[in-house]
Amino acid sequence: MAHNSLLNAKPKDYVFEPAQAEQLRLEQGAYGERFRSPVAPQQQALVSTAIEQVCRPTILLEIVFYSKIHLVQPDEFVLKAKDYHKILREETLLLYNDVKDNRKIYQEWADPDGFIESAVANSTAAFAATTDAVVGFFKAVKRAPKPDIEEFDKLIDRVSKVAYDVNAAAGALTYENIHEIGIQLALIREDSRRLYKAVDLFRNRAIDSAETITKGLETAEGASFQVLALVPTLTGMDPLREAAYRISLIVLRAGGRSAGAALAQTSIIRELCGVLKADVPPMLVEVISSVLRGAIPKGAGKELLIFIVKQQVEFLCDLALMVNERGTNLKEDDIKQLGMNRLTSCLSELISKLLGGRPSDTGVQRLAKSLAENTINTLWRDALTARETAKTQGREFWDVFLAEFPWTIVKIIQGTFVGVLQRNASRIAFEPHSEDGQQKSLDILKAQKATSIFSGKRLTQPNASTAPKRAPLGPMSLNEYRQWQQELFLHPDIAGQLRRYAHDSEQYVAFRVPSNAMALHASEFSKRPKPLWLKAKSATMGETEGLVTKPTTARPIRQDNEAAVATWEKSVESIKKNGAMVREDGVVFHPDMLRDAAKVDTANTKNYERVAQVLTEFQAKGHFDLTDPGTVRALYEAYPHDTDLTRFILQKARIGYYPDLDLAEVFDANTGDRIPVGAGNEKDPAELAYLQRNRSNLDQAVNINDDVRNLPPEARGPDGKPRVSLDNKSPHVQSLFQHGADNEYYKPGEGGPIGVVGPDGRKWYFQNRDSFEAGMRTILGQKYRDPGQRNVRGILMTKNSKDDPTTGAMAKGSGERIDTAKFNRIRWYYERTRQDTPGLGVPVPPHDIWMSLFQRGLSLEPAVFALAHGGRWSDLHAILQKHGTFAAIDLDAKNLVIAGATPESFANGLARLARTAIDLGALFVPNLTVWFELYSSYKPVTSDYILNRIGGPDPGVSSAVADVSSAIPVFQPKPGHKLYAFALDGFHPSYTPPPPTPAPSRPDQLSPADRNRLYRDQTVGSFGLQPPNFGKVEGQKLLAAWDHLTTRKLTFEEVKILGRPVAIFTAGLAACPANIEPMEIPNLFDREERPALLVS
Amino acid sequence: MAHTEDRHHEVAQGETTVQLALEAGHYWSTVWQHSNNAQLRQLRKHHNVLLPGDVLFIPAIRRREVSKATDATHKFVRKGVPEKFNLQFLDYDNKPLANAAYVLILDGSASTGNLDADGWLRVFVRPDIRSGRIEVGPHGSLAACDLNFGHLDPLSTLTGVQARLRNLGLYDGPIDGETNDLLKEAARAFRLAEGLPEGDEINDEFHQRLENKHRS
Repeated sequence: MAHNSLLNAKPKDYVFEPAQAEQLRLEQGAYGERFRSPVAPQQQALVSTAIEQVCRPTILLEIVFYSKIHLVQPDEFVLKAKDYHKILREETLLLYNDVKDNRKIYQEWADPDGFIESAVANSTAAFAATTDAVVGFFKAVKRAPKPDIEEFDKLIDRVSKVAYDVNAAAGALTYENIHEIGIQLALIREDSRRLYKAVDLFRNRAIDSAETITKGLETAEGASFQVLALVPTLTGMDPLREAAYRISLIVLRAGGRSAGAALAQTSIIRELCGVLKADVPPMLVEVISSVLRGAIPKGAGKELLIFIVKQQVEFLCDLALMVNERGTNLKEDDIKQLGMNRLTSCLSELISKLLGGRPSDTGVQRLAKSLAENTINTLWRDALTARETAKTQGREFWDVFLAEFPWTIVKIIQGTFVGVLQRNASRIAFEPHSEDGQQKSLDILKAQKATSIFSGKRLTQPNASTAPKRAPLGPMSLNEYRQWQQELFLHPDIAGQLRRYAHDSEQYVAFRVPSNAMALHASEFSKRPKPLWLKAKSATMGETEGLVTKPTTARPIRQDNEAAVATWEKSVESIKKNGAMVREDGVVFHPDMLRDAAKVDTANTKNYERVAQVLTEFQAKGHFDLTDPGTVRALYEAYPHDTDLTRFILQKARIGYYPDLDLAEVFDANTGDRIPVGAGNEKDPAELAYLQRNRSNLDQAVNINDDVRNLPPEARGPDGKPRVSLDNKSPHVQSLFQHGADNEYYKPGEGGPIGVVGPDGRKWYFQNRDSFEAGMRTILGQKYRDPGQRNVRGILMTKNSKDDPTTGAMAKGSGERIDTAKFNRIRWYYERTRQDTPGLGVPVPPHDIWMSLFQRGLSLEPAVFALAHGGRWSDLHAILQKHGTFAAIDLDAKNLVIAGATPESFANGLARLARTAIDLGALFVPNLTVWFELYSSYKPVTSDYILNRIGGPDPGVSSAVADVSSAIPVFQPKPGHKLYAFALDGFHPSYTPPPPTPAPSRPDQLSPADRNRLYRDQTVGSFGLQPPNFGKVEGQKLLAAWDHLTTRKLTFEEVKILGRPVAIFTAGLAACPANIEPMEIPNLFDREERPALLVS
Repeated sequence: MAHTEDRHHEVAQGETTVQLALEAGHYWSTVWQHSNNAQLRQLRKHHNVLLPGDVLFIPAIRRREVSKATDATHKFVRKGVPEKFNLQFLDYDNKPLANAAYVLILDGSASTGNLDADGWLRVFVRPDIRSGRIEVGPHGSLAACDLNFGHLDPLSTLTGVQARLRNLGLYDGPIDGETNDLLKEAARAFRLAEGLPEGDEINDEFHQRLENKHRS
């Protein structure tokens, strides 16, 4: 008999720290406003000039009951203070009873002379062989260390005191009193939760130790279910979650029973259905009634509700059985037939009660059918989705379906009530004077207060939870984890949370793609993401690459080592304060990490534990930097017997912090607004944490655990659980980012690759800031705004700089309103003009070039490039990076377009293209058609000249002309001539995409080329763009203009790169109409027009 | 557009005497103090707080000749332009948002400044301004609201009561002149705050207290 876990326990295992108010992480309750906000979001003031008037914004107060925060306006508080007080009084009594009941239950466990012992004894009496074991077990339970029962008494005393306060507060219903009582109750509930956790640990150990007493165990489990049933009350779950919890419990019990009987799978499900049908309806009705708080119209009372819920539960069970048994043979019609009859009848019943009339009335029937159809469709989708998910994730259908089951039921109830109520209420709008409709509608509208509480919505206030429901985001698959890791270099710890956060908050989160250093350490679970308090830089070179490392002049860790040293100096105090240390090789770590590392190196667990202890003590004495010889000496002196072991373990353990994630920008998916995540300077670290938590109930959002089975092995600990727990120990998503968006917002030109995670769980990778802008333009569509225009509520960005045109443009015209389009044009023009001070022409923005290529169905995907060459993507990538050019390939891998802008001068732009072509020459196969496109001036050019000039006899190409002169003959020196300017003449075809592929009638007969084209059209279409259908695409023909020094006679010849002509575009194709559209030039920016060709 | 003939104008929502006078080319006082508007003056306390349906007499523009010397610069100032806009911001405890920073957006132009020590915003605006937005405190954290100029109806009307209760943060229902549950709740809250007998009645005393509180 194994009694070890029970008897070997230490009393301290069951000791817990009482909760403090600031530790409470209270969830949003269903009542009141959804978002914590100091002011009402949409307040309007009705004012007039020349008089005095007052504006007093509303604020929100936090009322806590049942351990949830409910945000109410002060006036509402004044009106309902009595109600809140009543709720708190009930809560106090409930808590008092709960704690007392739990005490009784625990007493049975702690000193089993009561019902458990007799139950177990009775059940084992028939088995003489087990009797001794049972006696031994109970002796051990009595002897073993266990939670102190007095802890329950303390709680009871505390609740009693609150009960006294509650009574006293009846005469003084101030906000402070009500708030304080709520907090006190929440604290007691939290402490009772902690106490019960200790009790649970003890109980589990007791059950473990009785593993050989099978019958006893079964009975003990029965008792444990009784205890489990109290959990929702103890933890103050909200009603819907409670429903989910209880249903899970029922499933668990049913599973346990049937498992014992070794039934076949179908039988298990049938038994399960039996349990569901018997237990669920009354319980759900109880839950729903409590949520609706008796506001259900009297005609449709509890009995009717039970009837409806029963019908629906039975339907769901039948549906689930059918899906499970018939699998793929199940037809949609079967489902609909099954559900329609049952639902229509029950909805007709309900509607007739609500609206009057008989269930058989035509109008009632029609409405009922309409509602039933909607419901059935929802269910059908849910069931199929569950089946699909079960299939792809290798889980049981029931496992998946039941996970959503409570919500499905709730969805139906909600659909039924809210649908009928709202439909009826809308009569007011459409038939205000119809016979008895108005009065009934008004009655129903009043009843809608119930629906508003039901859905957590306050009347007339916007509410995220009442927005149209979106498809739920399933857990990530193993494959997805890998993809995110490979493409965005995101550690599995982070990828899941980021994706979940973007979904739940309906935001696009853009972040700088970390160097692959983050992913370098993904397989080592004793490493952690950089916490908020750790500001030091991670190494980008050397042996500690990818880990936060102490930089020194002698041992630089990155290119900007000086900055890293300066940051380190600032971070030292925080490192010490938070208990972190520096290894001898400079890696920053925390002694606690050793305990994780020990789980891998299990043979040395004790050594790791010892070293962790030594280091923790050593750190507490103020030592932290083991790169300092003095500190190592101090270690020797303090721990002469442990120092060698410490150094050995530290050298061996794979511990450290990998880099944090840098945020670029966050967009509201519904409006395209930029969500403020910081004041734009580095003094607002983790602003995101506070802002977003308030805005999005973030805690709740990120606390959803992804299915552990989908975690890649490296993200799992030895116990199979996520190695970073996704709940309270997790670095919440906000702590993935150490600071706000900094200044990226104002610097659209800079930056490396940017990753974006969308609300639908999708991800994007953009090579740089400009392609990011182009990408967001397509992702957000009409909601996209230029970087300067994205502030919330449409407030235009203003700067203090006198040079900035925004202020000037807006103030211009003494009150004349400048509309957004005009403002954009002026700003755009200003930006281009400002950049073009030397008058050398301005490059088309890279995102327009990117769009030109993308919109023609050209691909920038490595996989497509791989079709055309044997080289590596990194080679191609490096070449493009080096020359600042773009390359894109068609999906048949027959056409390659090399494109570039004219960042310095026209000549340099040409040279970049030529150098790209030369470098790529070795990579591409000969039968590839190469097209050259150069994107030029912002200003519409005429067909006969380009304003740009090269200047003097030097063609303006920065490095030796020789390296491109072979590729572009115009750069070869000509005796007696100097290259002066380029000119355009006529048009020249460039890459034109084949027409869109019609939808295939027989997909299996598509040729590979057609399949590729179809894919292309769909890809372009998925960005909200029209499939490519440009017809003929022509750019202007580039000619060189040679100034003959002697005769001044101009000579022209066509410019070619490696024998191919170059097409010039003055803007990205259709991507940026403002570039093409002729514009009125404000006087401010006017400048002298120059003749086509100046003669020097 | 200056009018050359006398006319009677039926006031629409959002219109004020100042706006209408400006359009007609008058100083507002010329219109408001006209003997033909005597009855309206008795009905409405303030020339800028009118009710839709009120009839305002607008006299024809008068031509005036002024003799001035040539070859010199002469300055003519239009009276009543711009207008003063006064709005006091209080917190929930009715304390002024003293010296708080604000951003005011009027007709697409943004300006910034600080409220005075008593929480007053006092700025000059164009008389025909119709809408705007103000945010007080960082990111509008102390107060943020859209401004609808000329939409404040007289206190004697139910829409006027609704508007003032809304400005005081007590009412967020429609401004429709209809008694509804939200208005009753707001009235109840206001009476409670003002120490009036419990209930939702809107009577003369209620009007008086509301005028004092709202200052108009």
